[in-house]
Amino acid sequence: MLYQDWLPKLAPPALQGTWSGRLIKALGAELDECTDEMIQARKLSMPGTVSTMPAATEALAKIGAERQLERGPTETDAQYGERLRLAWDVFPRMGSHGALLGQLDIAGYDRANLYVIQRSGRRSTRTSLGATTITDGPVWTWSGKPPEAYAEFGLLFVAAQPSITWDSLLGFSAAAAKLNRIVWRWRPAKADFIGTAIIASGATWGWPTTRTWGSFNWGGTGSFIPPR
Amino acid sequence: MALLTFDQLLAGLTQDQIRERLFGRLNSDSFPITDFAPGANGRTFVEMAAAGIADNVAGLVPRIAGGGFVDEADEDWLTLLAQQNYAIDKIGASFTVQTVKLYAALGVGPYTVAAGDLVVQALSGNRYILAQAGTIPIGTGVGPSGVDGTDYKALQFKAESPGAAYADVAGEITTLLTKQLPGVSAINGAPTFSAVGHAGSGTGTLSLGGTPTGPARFTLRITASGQPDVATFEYSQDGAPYIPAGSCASGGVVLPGGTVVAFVAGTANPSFVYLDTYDFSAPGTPIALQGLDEETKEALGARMIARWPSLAEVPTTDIYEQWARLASTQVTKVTVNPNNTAAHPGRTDILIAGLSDLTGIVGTVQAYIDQRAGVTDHPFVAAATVVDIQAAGSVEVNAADLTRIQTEAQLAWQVYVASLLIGGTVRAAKLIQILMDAGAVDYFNVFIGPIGSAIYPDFTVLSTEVMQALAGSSLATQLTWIVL
Repeated sequence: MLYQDWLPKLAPPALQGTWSGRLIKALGAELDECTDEMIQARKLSMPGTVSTMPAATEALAKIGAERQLERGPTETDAQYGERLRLAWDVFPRMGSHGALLGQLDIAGYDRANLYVIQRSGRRSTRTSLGATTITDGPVWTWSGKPPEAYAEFGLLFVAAQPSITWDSLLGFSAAAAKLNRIVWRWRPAKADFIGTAIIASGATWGWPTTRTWGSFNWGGTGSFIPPR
Repeated sequence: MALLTFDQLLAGLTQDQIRERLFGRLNSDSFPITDFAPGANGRTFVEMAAAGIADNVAGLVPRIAGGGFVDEADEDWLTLLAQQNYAIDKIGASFTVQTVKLYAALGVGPYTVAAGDLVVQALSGNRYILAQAGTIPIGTGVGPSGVDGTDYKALQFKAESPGAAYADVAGEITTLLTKQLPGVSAINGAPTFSAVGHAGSGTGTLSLGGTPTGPARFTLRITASGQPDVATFEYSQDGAPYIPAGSCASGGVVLPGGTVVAFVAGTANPSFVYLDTYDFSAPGTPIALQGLDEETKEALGARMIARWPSLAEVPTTDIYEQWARLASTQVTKVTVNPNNTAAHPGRTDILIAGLSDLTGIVGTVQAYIDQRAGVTDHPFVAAATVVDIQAAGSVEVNAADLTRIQTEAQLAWQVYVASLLIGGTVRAAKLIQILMDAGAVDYFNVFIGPIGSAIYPDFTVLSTEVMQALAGSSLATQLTWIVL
């Protein structure tokens, strides 16, 4: 029962007159309003409920900062709120191919042309439905380290990525810096992130994995983004 | 009911706003609100109700709203939030423990003392109370440079209050406040060597001896497993590349500078295991345990936030950072980096630092992490090398302010340098700000840098180093003070 209905009944006869009754009713309505505001205040830090409130944008940003899950460029309040609510399910998978690819997908990177490739040749990509496809192939020599140094990996984009750039003088573009930040965060601590290769066009040795030395004419273009 | 914005919920309503809302409700219910006589019942009722609601009901809204967020909750509520939602307790302040050498004048003594009997004071004014019993031997005339138990007795003293300010370095505790032991002197002299930090699975230990000719920090790395005289090792001095040093001799190996390290067999064979490391420095520190201030709201909040990534089922950077901090409250700074080479594939280097040199607790942190790391993971803990930072330059101050400015600036300088991260950058501009904030009139050519090289406007240490304000010295002596 609302205060504005209950208080008038509780009031002594002297406060149940025409004018005094309206005073009591107004007091009850104010208490109802304050009660509702306390409920709103409590819901403010609940990502699944605040996402439908006027406070959603600011509250979700704060919850996202605490849970260290950045908002994607196209995510709605409801989508972001739900993802923050499910952080319990996301963090246990941290360090996996799927979690890393998922974070990059949410951040707006070119999912369809993105691979995570380990030195061992294991590579992964993410489908439009959010599933992770893992395939084993020929080894990828990301750096000059000997085979024993197995714990290295990199990213491969097989299409041009104009926003992801690095220059020895200008440094990283915002998209490249964010990419590196996400990868360093979501990789296992022991995994040595070597960088991001971008094949913009033409033939490049090693991609597709069936393309071997001597099987094509040179002419590929692309770039390499250092890991930091 | 109106849905409020984020800012409205965090700000809450004032008494005036509640009164306006009450009048609005009455007005919409045809209650006359524009012609109240002084002391009218309706007006008085509304004022009373507004005051009561503002104080007891509406005032709770911003506290409830902020209480759900790490950076908005008030301090007491944050402590509760940390306990209940993040399962971590706020770290309370702790006491510094110093090792102080007590020695008697020639022919005087012996004296038996019990905990609480003696109080010593440092140059800073900090006082420490004897925390253990012992016997000060009869004076031999050799004093604190002699042998413990024969020429002096090293006993532990606990700071009289908790906090990080109790950080008096070697040689700064020399005053014995309690006078019941005539002829007895005290000094918190540095031991010849620090405790030996060990990372790895071997059970062998090191016995350190010799007389080092100067300060040095050594890391010994086992290059072939085995018992003493069979295993081999290499060493790194002050972060330099490793140098092969032959067998782990039980009879001792002389390192540069005169340190003699003897390898002692452990309980398992082999005692010394490939790639195990041993760290120590010369001289050591008299601080057996560095006291800490009560954890700040910001630091507690950072630990709470770090709990989320710790849900990962494989060790990530965040997890190793958290484990290192959980292993010891002395650890306040951590870096985690892959060090994946043919010699140690898949290794993860974890560098720790705190308010003092953490070489002595490397083994503790390594053991804690080893109990949690996965099969094929190879976490490797080491202590960041501590680099003393000093200042140079001239400062103009009014005569009446000299002592106060020196004291305030020194404290702020120590706090600033202690806040710098591993591999951080110290800036002279910050020191200048500290001096001017403290009340200096002007400054000239203020620079900072490592000992003997205070010539930089900014100075960045290596990624394996961490800075501290030069121990045993202060801005009062490092800077030239021009009194107006």
